Amino acid sequence: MKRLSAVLVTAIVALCLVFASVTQTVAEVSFKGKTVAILIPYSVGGAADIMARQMLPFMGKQIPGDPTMIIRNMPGGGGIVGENWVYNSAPADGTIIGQFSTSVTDTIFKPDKVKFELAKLRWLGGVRETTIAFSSKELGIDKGTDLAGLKKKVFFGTTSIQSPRAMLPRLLMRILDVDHKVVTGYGSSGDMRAAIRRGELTMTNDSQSAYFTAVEPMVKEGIVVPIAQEGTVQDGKIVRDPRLPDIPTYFEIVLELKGESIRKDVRFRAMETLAFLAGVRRGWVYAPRVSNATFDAMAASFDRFLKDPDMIAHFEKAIGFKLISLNASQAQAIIDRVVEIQKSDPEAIELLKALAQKP
Amino acid sequence: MTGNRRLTWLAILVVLALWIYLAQDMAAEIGAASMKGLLRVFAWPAFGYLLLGNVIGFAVGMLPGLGGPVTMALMLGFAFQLKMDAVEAFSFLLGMMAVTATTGDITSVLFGIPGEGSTASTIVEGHPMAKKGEAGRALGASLMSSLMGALVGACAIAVAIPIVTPLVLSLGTPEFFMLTVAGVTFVGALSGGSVVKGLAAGGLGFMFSLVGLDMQTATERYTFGFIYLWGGGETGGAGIGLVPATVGLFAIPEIVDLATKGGSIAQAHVGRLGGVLQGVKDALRHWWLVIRCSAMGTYIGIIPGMGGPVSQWVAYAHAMQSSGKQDQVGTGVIEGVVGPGAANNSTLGGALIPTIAFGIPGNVTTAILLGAFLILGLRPGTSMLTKDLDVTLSLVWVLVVSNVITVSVCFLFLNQLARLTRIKGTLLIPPLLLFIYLGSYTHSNSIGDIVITLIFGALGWLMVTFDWSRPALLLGLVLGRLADNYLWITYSRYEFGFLARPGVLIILGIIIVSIAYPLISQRRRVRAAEPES
Repeated sequence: MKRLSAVLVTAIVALCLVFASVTQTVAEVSFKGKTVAILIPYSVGGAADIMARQMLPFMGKQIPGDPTMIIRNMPGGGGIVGENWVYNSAPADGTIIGQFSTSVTDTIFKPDKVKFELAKLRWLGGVRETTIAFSSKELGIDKGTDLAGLKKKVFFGTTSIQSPRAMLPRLLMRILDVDHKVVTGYGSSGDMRAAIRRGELTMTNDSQSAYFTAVEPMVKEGIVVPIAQEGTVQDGKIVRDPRLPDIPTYFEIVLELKGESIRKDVRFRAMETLAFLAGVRRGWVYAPRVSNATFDAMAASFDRFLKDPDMIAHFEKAIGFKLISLNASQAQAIIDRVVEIQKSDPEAIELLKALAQKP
Repeated sequence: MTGNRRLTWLAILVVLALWIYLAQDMAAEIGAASMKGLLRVFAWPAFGYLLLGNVIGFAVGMLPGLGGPVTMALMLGFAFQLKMDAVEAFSFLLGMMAVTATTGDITSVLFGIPGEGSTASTIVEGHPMAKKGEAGRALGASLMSSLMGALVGACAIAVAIPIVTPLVLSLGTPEFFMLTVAGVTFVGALSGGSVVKGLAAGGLGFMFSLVGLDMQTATERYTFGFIYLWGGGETGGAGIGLVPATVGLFAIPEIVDLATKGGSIAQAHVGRLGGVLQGVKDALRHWWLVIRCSAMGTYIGIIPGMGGPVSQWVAYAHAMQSSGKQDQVGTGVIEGVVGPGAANNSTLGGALIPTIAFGIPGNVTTAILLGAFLILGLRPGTSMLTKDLDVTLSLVWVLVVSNVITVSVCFLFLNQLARLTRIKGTLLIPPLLLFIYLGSYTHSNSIGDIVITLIFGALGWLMVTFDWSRPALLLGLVLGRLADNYLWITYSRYEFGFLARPGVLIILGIIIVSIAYPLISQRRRVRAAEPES
């Protein structure tokens, strides 16, 4: 008994010591007098860059030592140059944080250019956003399920055949046998909205921020109708984004029209994979060689930053909708699931790769 | 009055009558909102921010390479840190952007180095004038036409409000493609002495424009394994950036010339202030050209993907073609200074129209401004044309007031500025080189930008030496990617059916007439001359 108590006491003391040392290490991490850069792998003035510049003033004060915060742009290769650099060349002291949008899909669609392992990137947090497909009134449909049996040909607009965002509606139309043509090459979603207005396109999809600011007015004017949303990942499941409770997900539409058996179809599985791939719409990452203590301190800082009411109020005013953020462990869980799918369902991944090659 | 001129006046009168008919209900509303907008721009602190924006824009415009859009993105955060309201923020941001093309022309004329990507064309005729000691006259003409262009562009916003839907949405991608083809036909006007060399240079520019990730299928074209050549946008883009290429093509040969010849930029005696007044008179004398080029600039601004880099060259080519002095390219033809000076300033007004009305930004600058609209709680669309009309019209006033102030200030210092061309080349070269490389580097913060500048510098030097047209190459570079992109969208949407669209046929007709008319009239002149001889 005495021995047991001695072991217990020793264990407790050891635990306390470990805990104390960990908390001490966390407390020791300080960026005082340093400059911390958010690395945007795109040019100045893009959507990612503008979002980061809006959030930047709220970041520094949450980070130990209140460092000077700057944005560093490293454009090239549609994001790959910056992503590769953060992973391989950024200093290990935690002063470079990548803000990535396409790193997850790049590992699938540009594997020969990617010089990083998705599973090893360390996620500090992220922002959740969905995408919404909408069609012009010309098609004569009022909701997503009306797509089944549609007689008119759909002209679906997107930037590039490799655009992951466009793949969900493309798969939906394939499953529902909708006669459609993918028209690629538009410079931005603004160009596609203009093309819808002048009757050049009859369907496209857009980000949530663009939906609230530019598409919803078109819905009110009676020019377009919302068809379906990608949804967001919550507790490992794809659900309707709480900010758009009235628009069904692609999955709901397919299940309603095709029944539960469709779940086994590779096209459905590819759709699910896409929704998980986009689970962290914009995420902040560290390279794997950044120390655990620095990572923990920064992850805690990001948690505070993403809960800061001033930042949330500013963001919501700027973007026009409620911010839903992911903390480090939530973002990491989604990425872990993506890595797992990539290994467990190669057939779905191959289908996505094929979609990136041919319309 | 020639038949041509009479027809143009008739067209203007018809358009005016149509506008009055469409705008009759809104005219009073626009008038009242315009006055309210003007008062808001002159209220404190908005006016102070406008002046601050003008000062920053003045410097950014003059410094080679460092572009307006990049600076505006950087200043965006500053505007919100100071908690500016909508009119204050636009006075600051737009006040800065509005003057970059104006002061960019100054660097182009004085040093033969483009101050902005959209002011390169002013070099072709403006800089030879500076070399002849007529820097004052070239600057006077360029500034006056810039002011007039900005006023036309600003007025276009107000004029467009009642007719915005047909103005922006009547033409689709097939028509954009045909307009690009129309632009390509200008290569002939930019060729100088030899049309064959001009076409070859244009073709070379076209090929360079295709380097990068193709926008439709993300296929690599001529990238030779360099990720740098994929381009910098979120979906890739042009591998060869316009700024590094333009700076290299024009600035490097100029520096080499300055270094090898010795002496100063002005190889003749620099005239006194009278030269400036002469330039102003030149711009006023060519008022009809200024209006035409401003209208072109405004409409090009509306078309997505195009902007200052396109409008300046199209305007330059039009100015040279209509002047009938195509054989004197690069010798200091005043029309070649006046035309692009007006067009690059009117483009911003045009680009703002679809941004305000539909939330569709025409170029990078307006995309950043659109971000600012949203952050300030303004929603582009109907509300900006009704409820927030005073804010919309305050944008018009910011463009007008900024340009009036900047051009007036420039006139005060023009004589001193013109004297810069008398500074010894050996003193000018080091700072100029520093600015050139710094400016290029800001394109994508990569050493690749410097390499592109050097390669295009060498190419530019060879072209000057062997008398090949650099403007033709740049026109190819600017229009090539657009033509490729528009044709792809057009074909994948309409296949060959696009050839039957009325808009396409009308533009095709205009292209055929514009090519055939000079040839026919030349033949007529020859025939008329034959009996006499």
